[in-house]
Amino acid sequence: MKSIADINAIREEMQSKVLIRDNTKEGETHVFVAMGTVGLQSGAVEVFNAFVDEITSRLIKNVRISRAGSMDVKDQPAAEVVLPGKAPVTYVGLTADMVKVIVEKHILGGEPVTEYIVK
Amino acid sequence: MEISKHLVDLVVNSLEALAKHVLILLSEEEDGVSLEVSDDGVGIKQEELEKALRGEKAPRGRGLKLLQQTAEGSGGSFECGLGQKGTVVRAKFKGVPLGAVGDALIVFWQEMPITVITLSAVTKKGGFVFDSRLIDVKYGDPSKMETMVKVRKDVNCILTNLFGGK
Repeated sequence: MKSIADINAIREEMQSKVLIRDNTKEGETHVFVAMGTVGLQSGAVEVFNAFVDEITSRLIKNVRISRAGSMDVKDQPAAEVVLPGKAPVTYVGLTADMVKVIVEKHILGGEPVTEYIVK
Repeated sequence: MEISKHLVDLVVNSLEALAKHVLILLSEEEDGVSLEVSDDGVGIKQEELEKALRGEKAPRGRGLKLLQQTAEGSGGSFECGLGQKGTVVRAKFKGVPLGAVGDALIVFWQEMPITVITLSAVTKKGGFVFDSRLIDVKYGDPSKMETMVKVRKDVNCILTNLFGGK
């Protein structure tokens, strides 16, 4: 049995972990995940779901995740992140772990993760 | 490639054919799993289908060649039926993993309010029906990603139970 103080401590700890970004006024951030046949073979569904998990579990608001066609990036899962008023950034060779970094640094932090960007 | 990933290709084809209703049937066979995806879209022309199956660039029928390879390569079968309206694709797989069908379905979460997606699964253990028109009744607001996370979990869980990881 946990005391009220314990529960409050847990709540505070959880709240500090959850970052809420409400950019209603600035518009939506869009994430497009390439769903070409080749992308599907190499993990596009996993990448799509990793974005969904990361965005929903951190309660980030106003991010729309959509499927896109093939992005012509050869055999690798790819996604495009468009922050309101910013140019689209295309990432390739994505994995679920890389998605976490992109959500943290780019979608929340506003700084593209340059090492994952298509050259 | 897992069956659930082929399913994504097939549903994309249906959506690109402007289908209003996509019907997915998954059933357990004696020696494998069969998948049928049918829609009421504008269909695919015979020559487009032949091109797609030869692996040439075609405006329609993406992923069909790969599906044929997976299905026939596993010892199963593949057929694609053309009608006046709509398309039916049937594939039978032997020993090919089903994969996470819920993960595949939520890729289309934004299309579901417009295009009805129905999934019906039957095995010896029982049956399951998912209908995108009933999301709000069963899971909540379909325009919210949180709702789709619930859908994903439910579909994955039920299908894993029914098909036992087949």
